[in-house]
Amino acid sequence: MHMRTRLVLLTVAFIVCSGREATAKGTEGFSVNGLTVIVAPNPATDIIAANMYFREGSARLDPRQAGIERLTLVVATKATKKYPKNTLSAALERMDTRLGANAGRDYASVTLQCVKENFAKSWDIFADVILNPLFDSSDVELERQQMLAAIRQSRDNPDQYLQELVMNAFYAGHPYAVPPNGTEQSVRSLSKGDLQEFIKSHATASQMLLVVVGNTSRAEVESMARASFAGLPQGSYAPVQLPAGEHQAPSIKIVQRKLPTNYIVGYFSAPSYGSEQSYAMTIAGSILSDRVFDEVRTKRGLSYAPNAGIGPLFDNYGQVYVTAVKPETTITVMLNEVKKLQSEPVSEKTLNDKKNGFLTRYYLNMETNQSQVEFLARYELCGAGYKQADLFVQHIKSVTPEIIQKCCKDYMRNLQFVLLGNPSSLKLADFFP
Amino acid sequence: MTQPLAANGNQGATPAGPLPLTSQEEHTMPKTIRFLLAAVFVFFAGSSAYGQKYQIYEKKLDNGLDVLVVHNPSVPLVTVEVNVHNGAYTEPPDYNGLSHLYEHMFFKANKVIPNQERYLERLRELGALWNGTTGDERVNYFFTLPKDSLVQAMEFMYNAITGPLFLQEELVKERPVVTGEYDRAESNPFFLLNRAVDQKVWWKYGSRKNALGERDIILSATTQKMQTIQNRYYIPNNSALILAGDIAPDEGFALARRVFSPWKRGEDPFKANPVPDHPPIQKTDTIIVEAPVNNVTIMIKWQGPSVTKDRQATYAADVLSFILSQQTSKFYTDLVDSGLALNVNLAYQTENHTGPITLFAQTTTDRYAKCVKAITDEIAKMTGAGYFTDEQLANAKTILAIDEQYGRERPSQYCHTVGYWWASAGLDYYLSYVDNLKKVSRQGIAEYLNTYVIGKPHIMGVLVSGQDRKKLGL
Repeated sequence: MHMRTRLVLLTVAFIVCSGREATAKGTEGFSVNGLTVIVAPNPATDIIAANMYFREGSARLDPRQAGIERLTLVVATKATKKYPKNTLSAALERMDTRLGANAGRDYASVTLQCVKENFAKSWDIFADVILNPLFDSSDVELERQQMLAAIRQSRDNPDQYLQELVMNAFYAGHPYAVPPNGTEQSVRSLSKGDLQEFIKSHATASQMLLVVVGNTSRAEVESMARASFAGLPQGSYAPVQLPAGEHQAPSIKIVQRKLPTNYIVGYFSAPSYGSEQSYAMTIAGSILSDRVFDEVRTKRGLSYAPNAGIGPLFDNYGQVYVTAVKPETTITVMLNEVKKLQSEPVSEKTLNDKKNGFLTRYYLNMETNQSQVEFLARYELCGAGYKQADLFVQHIKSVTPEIIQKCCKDYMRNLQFVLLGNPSSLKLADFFP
Repeated sequence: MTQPLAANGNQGATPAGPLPLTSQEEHTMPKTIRFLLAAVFVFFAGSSAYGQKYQIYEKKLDNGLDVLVVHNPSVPLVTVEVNVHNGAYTEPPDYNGLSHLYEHMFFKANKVIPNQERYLERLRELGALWNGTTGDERVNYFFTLPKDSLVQAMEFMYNAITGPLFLQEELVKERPVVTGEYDRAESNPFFLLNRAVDQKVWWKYGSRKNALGERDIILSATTQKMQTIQNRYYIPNNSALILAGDIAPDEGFALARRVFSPWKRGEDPFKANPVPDHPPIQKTDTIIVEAPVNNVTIMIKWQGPSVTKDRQATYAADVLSFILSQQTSKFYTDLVDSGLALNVNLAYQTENHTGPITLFAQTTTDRYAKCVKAITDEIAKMTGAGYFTDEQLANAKTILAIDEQYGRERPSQYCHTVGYWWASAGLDYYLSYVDNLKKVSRQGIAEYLNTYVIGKPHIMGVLVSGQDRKKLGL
């Protein structure tokens, strides 16, 4: 049987599927002059994925500079001192190398995906983007206009707008209230000098994390990382402590918009990503999703899109979501399922079936090197450590019905709802059982 | 050759709402697909170098079912997928939307499963994630699950494909669900733009390009109509079974033969119910769609080539799309780097029956007029000698060859792609795609543009807010 990486799991007796054994060529973490590097060799494909992460995304920012990470990193990928714009674009195109930049609440990243034969040349561009971005004024302005247009456009799509609204409502006063894409005001105010200062102060060994998965080796990556990044300043990164927030009462915010249906979401607090309880909560969220689908859609035909689940943030949330012409009937049914999870333990059958499904999801996430990079990185960035990625299935296995019930009691309460639409009738009491 | 976003039947595995999962959604489509198909594995002498190189194997059962095995053991999962030559293109007006409703009914009672609750429970027991989609020229259903559940999944799929019951109670209950999907689509202003443009592009046979369908048809659907679709289209000689992932070809073919051989062959549905050809767009026109949006969106559509009638043009279309999508292209630099457009894209959608060519661009109110003029100027220049370099032409072909590796990384997604090509263009097209792309010349691209785009009737849709529409005098 073909082995992929150390992330491939040991066979778990209770799970009806074949697993894979850890190999000697597994995931390794090491330091290059203070820069943490994680490498997971995967000779199964010719693709290599490498991401450079910047610890702590918009949660760390002054709200007046919201969006600076995105603007800085996207513009950085346009041109460098060694690779002016057209040269860089042409080189990437010739190799079909994919270079990107992302910025979120918990971290930001510059991403690289290429085929093995182009790894060295692609890496050279990747490193130069991080170390020597040009920040040409025309590129800054172009990207600024793109970001401003995207901010405006985010309100056009009801799902996207709903998410903005509920994030603002749920995380008001929290570092997560700073939007990673910025506001029109903050993005307009950012100068080229701000971007230059930002990369200078954040591209440090202590703040960055490099993760590579693909047809390469620790030796190769270590050699390339030393050649490119050994000269990084150490920096003085210190993690930001996110406040332990909790809502004391449920709430609902209604935003009027003329739509054919109503978009509704309710957020509740969830355990931190990577914590012991997060596994039980993730399973609970998925069971809740199955149940609301069954009760709302299958049995009653009330909605096309009821669902529930747990978010991806380090200071996390869970949600119930639905689009419905008659929200009051639908929400009552959904909250009733929350109550059942709190009052009755799930059956062993339900739990075992769910664990099987999670294994499928886990393996789907392991299909690509890029998703494996992200999986390892998130464990490392949240503080749990990349080695926890190997223990995912064990953690899932250890969840019991009692732990799930306790999680649901502890967390699935005081939901903060947002409704976007124009309901003809609404009983607010339905949202506050 | 972009693959359209299809009406998504059930979202059984993926949340519809604003839940940014770290894992990727299994109905995400890879951007490009370039794979060669292996020769038939068991029933024909000799093996193909394509199969050995790309790990794709093909065989046809005696009942006409195409069976494709995509071997990729990187993770211990298998995706079981059935593709059917069905979708909007088979729908006269009184059936518009019923291929999609049928897709919903697939996930309900059948000859061995009493109702949808038990159906979903069974899939959960198997550890499966599932979904289905309906497009213009293909309906597909797929389960991804641990390899050890494969046999049960194959049997489950067989029973669902061959024995849906269309219980009246379930049909009635599903109508508001499908119209709920309709409501969501109509909540998206881009859907409204696309629909308005399509109504004019496909003016005579609009139902055959409208997978979501019409509300009144969906709401009045009967069991009898579902059975008509089943008997006509859901036959093995109109379908393909794809097994992708940790499955060896011989094992896959043996299982397919064992489980799917009893499925009875039927009459070719397209002999008795041929798909009409779309007449050309009558005249170039502009349509304004008002919605509360913050930017201005421009969509221009032409009727492009059909795979069966002008294959060479489809290759030229794809090479051109690739050239234009590169950030070094004049198209990109003149429109986006100049600041006139926020983004721009020109793509051909490969279809058997007149694939559309779509130019999509977004701009701001203050740059709208200049943007539209610039787009018009770009199109007129595309056949000029200097519009793209030899290097850009060569790069486009190189990129296509490398792209196939990215696409193959996800067998659970790649099988949808293979199914799309099987349905829209046929396996022979897919087999020779890369080789044919490499033969595309400047002349071929110019012929394509002159035949289908430059000076040809088209429909331009503009999505704009009421306030901005007044400002622009539209």
